Amino acid sequence: MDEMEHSLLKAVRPEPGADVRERVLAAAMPLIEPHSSRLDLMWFSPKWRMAAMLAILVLACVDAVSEHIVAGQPAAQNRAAADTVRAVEMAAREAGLTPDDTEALVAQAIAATRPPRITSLNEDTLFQRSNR
Amino acid sequence: MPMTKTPRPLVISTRVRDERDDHRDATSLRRLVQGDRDALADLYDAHAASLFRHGLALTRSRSDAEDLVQAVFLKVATTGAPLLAVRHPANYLHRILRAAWIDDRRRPATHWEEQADPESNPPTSDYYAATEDAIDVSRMLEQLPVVQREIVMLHLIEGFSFREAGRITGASIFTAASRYRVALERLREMMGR
Repeated sequence: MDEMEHSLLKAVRPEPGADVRERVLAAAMPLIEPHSSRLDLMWFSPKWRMAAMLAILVLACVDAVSEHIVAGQPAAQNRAAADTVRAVEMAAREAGLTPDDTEALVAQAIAATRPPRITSLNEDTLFQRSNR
Repeated sequence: MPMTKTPRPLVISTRVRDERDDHRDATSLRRLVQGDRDALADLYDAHAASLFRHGLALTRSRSDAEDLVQAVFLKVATTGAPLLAVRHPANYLHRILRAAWIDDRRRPATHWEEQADPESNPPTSDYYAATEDAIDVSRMLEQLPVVQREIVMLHLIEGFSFREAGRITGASIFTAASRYRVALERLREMMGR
């Protein structure tokens, strides 16, 4: 801090008049109303805002990770099914089955490797499946 | 000119704002939102002098500076719950003051235009200064452009960093620092130092 800044610091210290305090507070105080609803306190609180942002960030991360996992599952399932079908087809040819029989066997293998449907099954279907 | 006022204690070092001030003011704002009127008085006692000096730097008129201070506290009293989101209350109050000043300037044919003529301004140097030597410095300060006067007031006298002063005045940190440097150079030229 140089001489000029020292001079300014010494010089510039004005303050408002004593009557200004009464005037300002008299004008402003009647305008004060309590605005402390719980929702306001939460919405405008920096802590709550930070917590909300963190929660959104965590949810977004979880969403992104779960999408990645879900997207990876069908691909793995498809690969496994394709390997099974290829193995069944090869085994059928080596066993000397006719092309029609081979095709039927492969169709059954494909049906067997499909993931289970979400739709509910009735009792008859369950019974039939259990007897296969 | 004879001095009628008694010399006040002089503050040599710039007061640096810290987090304790923000915490104290944030507590006052929270109390204010909850309807505690004494909180407004606490805020006034903590900031009115600083706001007044900022207003004086902008307007060069005591009465107008006092009006700006009043405008700030009226705004604070009526803002309500959004005050809870204020992180740096001192900066916020000074920004309100500057916005009020700009609003006043935008009004057509106001007293601000009359003040464009320096001869029509009443001298405020006496209010700035406590000693004869200080009056000289204050008169020179008054001759600076408003943005330079303002940055000198905010940074040197009120202890705002250039970043804070820039935010208050709507300028970048570099612009604020540049204005301050230019202001001091001009003052040195005026004083022949």
